[in-house]
Amino acid sequence: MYRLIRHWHHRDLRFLGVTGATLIFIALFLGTERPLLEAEGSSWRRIDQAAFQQRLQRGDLSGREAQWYHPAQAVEGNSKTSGPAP
Amino acid sequence: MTEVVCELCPRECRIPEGGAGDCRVRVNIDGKLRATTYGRPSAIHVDPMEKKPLYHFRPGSPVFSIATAGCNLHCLNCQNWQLSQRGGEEMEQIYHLDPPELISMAMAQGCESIAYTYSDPVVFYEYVHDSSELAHQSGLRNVFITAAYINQKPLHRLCRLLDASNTDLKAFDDRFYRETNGASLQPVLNALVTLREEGVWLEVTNLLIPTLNDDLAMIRRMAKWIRRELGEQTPLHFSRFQPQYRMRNLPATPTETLDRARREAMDAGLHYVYVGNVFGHEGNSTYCPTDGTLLIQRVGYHITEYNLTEDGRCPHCKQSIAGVWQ
Repeated sequence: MYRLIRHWHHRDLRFLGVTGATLIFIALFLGTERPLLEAEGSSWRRIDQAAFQQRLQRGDLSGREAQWYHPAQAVEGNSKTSGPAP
Repeated sequence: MTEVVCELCPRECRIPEGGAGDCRVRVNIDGKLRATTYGRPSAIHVDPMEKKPLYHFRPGSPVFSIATAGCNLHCLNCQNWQLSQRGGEEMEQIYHLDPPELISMAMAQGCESIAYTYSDPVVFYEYVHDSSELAHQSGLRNVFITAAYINQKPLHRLCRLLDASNTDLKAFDDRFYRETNGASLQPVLNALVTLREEGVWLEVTNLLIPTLNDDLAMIRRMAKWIRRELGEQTPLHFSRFQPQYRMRNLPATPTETLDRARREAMDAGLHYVYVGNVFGHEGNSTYCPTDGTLLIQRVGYHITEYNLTEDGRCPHCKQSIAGVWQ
């Protein structure tokens, strides 16, 4: 009986360890990743390229250059530049 | 592969080539960010100014109202989600209306103003900017109906072209903004202060959703903030929620909740507090803050009685009523 309990205890500890690590991982993901998405704006979207190009060529969408942006590299190189003059 | 960082709104999306910003309509093509809905509205209507709602800005005048696809907020209760939560390539209806044509059409319809509205005009910023410049040259006014989730520099540049704004303050609670709108509160507060400082005629709308943002203590804090930062003359509209889009689990706002909110805001010192989306409610009308005289009676979007003097005063006590009346 004692050996059975000890055996069970050993397996359970391993299981609890894996479960705990998973929960911590999930908590870290929810706690840090989501605010990062909101604050730092990594929330870009994929678009349907075929439909987009078709509408663009037909003139239903505009190719006008936007104001208020900069190439990402400029920031990484610590030499932030404006995009086209707004 | 050149990634770009959009600086227009507080999200500051980092967009790889071929991708769009969170708003769906600002697209990175070959390393340049493109405003894909420039001159391509998907909604065009002539509305009364009261529908915006703007109650202290040229009341009763027709306003040419446009919107394109896309939005930088993702409100669970959005009433224009077919427009706002889609990219340009997903729209069935797209009009070709570059700024000069827009101005001509607005004037042909007898409109005195253009409203950038329905979705959020922040995401078609360049279209608003260029159209607004032309509108002013043609003697038209510009009205910006927005959630004001925009960075300060672009807003400052736009303000000189704007005549009026109704700005949504969705709740006085950052958690509500994050969970219900996918945004945050502080940039909106900053934008409201900027609009006021830049001299844009400003009215504020707060949609009251049962159990989510109808707490009277929060409403009191919001009203006090508006009084302190924007002024006691700032009209505040409490609007009734209707269940729709992804928020069908909650009932429409009871009229009693709107009444209580209105009383609370008036007790906090705001002079003009309205109730919206409730047909025939006494809170649709404008009263003199000094003697309570009925100044403008509204039923729905219609003005049924207008008692202001020509220079915008109460006919009895001669109190000047804040607004743009001419």
